[in-house]
Amino acid sequence: MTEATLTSGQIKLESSDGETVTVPLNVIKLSATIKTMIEDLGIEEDNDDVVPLPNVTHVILNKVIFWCDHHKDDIQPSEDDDNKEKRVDDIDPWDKEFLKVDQGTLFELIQAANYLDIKGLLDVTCKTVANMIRGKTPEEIRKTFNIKNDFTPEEEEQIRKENAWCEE
Amino acid sequence: MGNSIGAPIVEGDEYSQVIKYDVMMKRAQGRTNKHILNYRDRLFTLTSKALLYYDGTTLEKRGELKGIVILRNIAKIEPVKEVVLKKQNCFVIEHVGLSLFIVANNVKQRDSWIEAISSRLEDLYPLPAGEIAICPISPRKENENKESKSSHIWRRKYESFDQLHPESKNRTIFERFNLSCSLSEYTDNIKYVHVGTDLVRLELKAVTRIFAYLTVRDIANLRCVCKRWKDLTEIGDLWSEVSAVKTSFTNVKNMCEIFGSHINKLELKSISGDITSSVFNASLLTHLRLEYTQVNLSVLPKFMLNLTFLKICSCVLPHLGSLKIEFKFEKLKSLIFNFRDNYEQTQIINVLGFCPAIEKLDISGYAVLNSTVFKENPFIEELKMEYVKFDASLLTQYCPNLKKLSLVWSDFVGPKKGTFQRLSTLYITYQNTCVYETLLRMFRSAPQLKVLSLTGLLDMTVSMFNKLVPYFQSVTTLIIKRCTLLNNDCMVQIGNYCHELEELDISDLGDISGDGIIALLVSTGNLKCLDLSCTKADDKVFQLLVKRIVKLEKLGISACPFIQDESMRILSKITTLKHLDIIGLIPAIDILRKDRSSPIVINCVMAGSTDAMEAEEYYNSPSVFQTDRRVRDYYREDMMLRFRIKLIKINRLMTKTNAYYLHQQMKRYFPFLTKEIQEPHYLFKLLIDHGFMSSEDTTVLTNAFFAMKRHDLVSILTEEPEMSVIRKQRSHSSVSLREVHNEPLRPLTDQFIYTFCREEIGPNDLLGLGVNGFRIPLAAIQRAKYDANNILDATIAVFTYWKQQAPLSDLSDLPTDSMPPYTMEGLAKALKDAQLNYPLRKYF
Repeated sequence: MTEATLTSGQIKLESSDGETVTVPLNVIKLSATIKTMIEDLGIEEDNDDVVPLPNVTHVILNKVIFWCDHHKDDIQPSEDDDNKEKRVDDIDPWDKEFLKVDQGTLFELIQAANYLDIKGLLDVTCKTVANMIRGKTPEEIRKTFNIKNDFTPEEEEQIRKENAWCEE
Repeated sequence: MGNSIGAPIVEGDEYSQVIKYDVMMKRAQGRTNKHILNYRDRLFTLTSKALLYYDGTTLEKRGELKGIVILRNIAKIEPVKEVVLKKQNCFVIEHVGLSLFIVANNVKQRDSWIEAISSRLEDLYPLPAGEIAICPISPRKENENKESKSSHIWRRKYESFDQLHPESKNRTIFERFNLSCSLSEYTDNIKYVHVGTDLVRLELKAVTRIFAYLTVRDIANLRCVCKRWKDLTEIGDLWSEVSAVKTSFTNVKNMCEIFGSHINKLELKSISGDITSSVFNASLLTHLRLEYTQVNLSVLPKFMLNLTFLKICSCVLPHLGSLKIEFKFEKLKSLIFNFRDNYEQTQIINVLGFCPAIEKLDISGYAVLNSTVFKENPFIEELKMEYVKFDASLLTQYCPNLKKLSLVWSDFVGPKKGTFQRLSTLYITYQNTCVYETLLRMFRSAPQLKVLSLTGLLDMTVSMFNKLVPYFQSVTTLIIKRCTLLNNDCMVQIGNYCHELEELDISDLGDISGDGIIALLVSTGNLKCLDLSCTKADDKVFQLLVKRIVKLEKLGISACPFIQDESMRILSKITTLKHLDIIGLIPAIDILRKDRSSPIVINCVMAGSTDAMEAEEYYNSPSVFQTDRRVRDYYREDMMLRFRIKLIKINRLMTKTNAYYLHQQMKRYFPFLTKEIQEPHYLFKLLIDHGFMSSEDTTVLTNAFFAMKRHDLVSILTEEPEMSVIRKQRSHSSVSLREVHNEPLRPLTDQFIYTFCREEIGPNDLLGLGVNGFRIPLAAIQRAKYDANNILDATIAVFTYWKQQAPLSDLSDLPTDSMPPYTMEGLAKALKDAQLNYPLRKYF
């Protein structure tokens, strides 16, 4: 794999429901999984090989590609970004609009970003979910994500006691 | 390697009573393709809580504990097909994102281990009905395990489930957080019933990432949501860093009892009670930050043996003269000691004496020190001093290994003789006075200097600077921003002597014109980063940049007054440019956006040099603001963005800067709001009205206020104090609003009070605000830190005020859930004292 192929080549991806999408490499390079694969396996430009993505449906795959296309020219976050202060209120307005989706889609995007190892997308989706959790009471969280409370009242009381240290 | 970092210390029957043991082969964990994979024989022992593995071959003669897998962290255990590892009788345990592969001696042994661990897991955590899934190895997992660069993994079509995993068809495999989302492929073979929510099904890695964005308090809330989340929140990694702020020492102790053994980094801020009297189980603790907390240094080492990093900031320490520590912090490499009392040199020596291995030291506070203070600390490589009057005459002798020296807001005397052979980074910034002799001595002693910052030396004169420049010949990074007296002659001088420069920051030097910069650029062809913000750089300069500076990657031209459309076109020819900083040049951004399809990628990052803002007068004239709508929108977007950036910065800087500074900044940000800005509290409403902020942003802004000491906040609300006064107060204790209630506070907006109260109010503040005549939102009372005695007083004050100003009809809008712990009698008394006749029945 040469540098030139990475900027000009294309690759075919097959979603879990059998649809094949052709993606420019300079877009999908944001996916560390696919980038590593191309580099490791040396896929040639005219290769007809299709990369199966058994974890990603075509709907989600298209969304992911759309996102990558918008962000393909961004500066790639460096390794030490993980040590930075974790902020949740710095979501790019375009991303905010992009992530106005139902919860199911949001979670599928996280799965896909995780599976394809697209750091930026994973960050922004996780931030979005974190924002849905922040500052909420347990009851509000349950309501938001439609979760059933499976604690007995005694158990719940016990956890509340354990949690007392962070109640102000 | 197992679950924990370093040698895990495990005590108690739960870890020592062995249920089952065997010698099996373990594959090295967490390695990438680059490492050679190795397999080692280990003695595995299963206890009721964990799987531990040791050196050695028999239980009696077992060697060093090599690793531990806490059973509750196990996500999955299953047999591994032979083709994956090219080994027989293998099984895998997935835990905290790692896969532990174990090769058993035979099928029987393998199955018995899976059986044993699974049954322990099922005892510990029974699965909800219908959720037991039999899971094939997902393609991803298989890929991770690949050992060679073979391509078949990706191209092969997957065989049916039966072929992949014939032996596991009838086995119950334990999987708690559905780690594979490829299950839908196999729905014919698997009865998978989805219970709970999609969020719960997310992969562990993603979940931990989400958690990383949450506060500890949010995570604590998640623990109450459902059982699975409780389990998820107890994964050790989540608790490796804990920060406890504004809580009591008992609470900290309780927290440490539950999670202490996971904690690597602990931050304790504003904790009431002496935290050091709690000897808690935090054996892995390496980083400790203490702020606004009582510390009894004599008890510290008991749980701080392994500390490598210690920060003590504005803490109440016993008088350092009486310090008795039983032994030394042998491993401590990094110490940040920010004191608020005036310490004598001997006391500081005493403290440093306990830290013989120290490499990084940051001392900040009002003290008069000389070099002998470091006589016990020859290993210091990085030294930072702030506000310290420091005599460095003999520093070359006592700190021969110094690599980085940073002196901020200090008065210092330069080294008399000798040189620092290794000193490569020197920051002499914001000095109170700038003495030529001192600077000269300093530069003479540092022949190896690579990075030099002289930021903010306001009284550095041209002749002084020009005489010093010959000492900068080895410097590759030079920062002289805000040395406002410097002129074009200085640039010529830099051009004459500094030929190694790769990074140069001459921003905020308003007297520098194009000619000066050109003289400089002629001999600095190696530049990679150049900040020209707020200088009078013009098109000639940019043309020279294109021609001569062939490696330029980063350029700052924020708020340069002579930039035109043409300049942007010239700049677009610099092919190496990766980062362009153009704050305050909105029309220019417009051009860039149009040009984005050109083959050169210019990232017009708007963040960055925020100091440039101060020279922004050029661009905040009303005419720019009122041109066509599009430009105005950009401007607005840009404004908000910069404001946020600034706030982030202020948040960080607040220890060094002060309320006055923030106020000044605000004036600069919103110049067209000239009148209103005089009333900071009024600013919020205004900002929201103008669409600069949403109500969400108010929190951001308010947070910035909270980053200040409270008395600074009060200062902002009362008057503009003299800078020096604030600087002096900076490191002193916070005063509650109650203590300053005699000072006339300006009326605050409800929004501000609400946000303020929501974040941080305690009973004293309630009382203070009440006494000062503020209407306290009910939600604030609800959220006030519970302290039954005080809050009652506070409530009385609040009620009294309400009675005068805004009578309520009854208490029906008092929050009914999670109220402060009023008793019926207490509340009745409060109402009585306030002479209010609200019916209580509704409330109780």
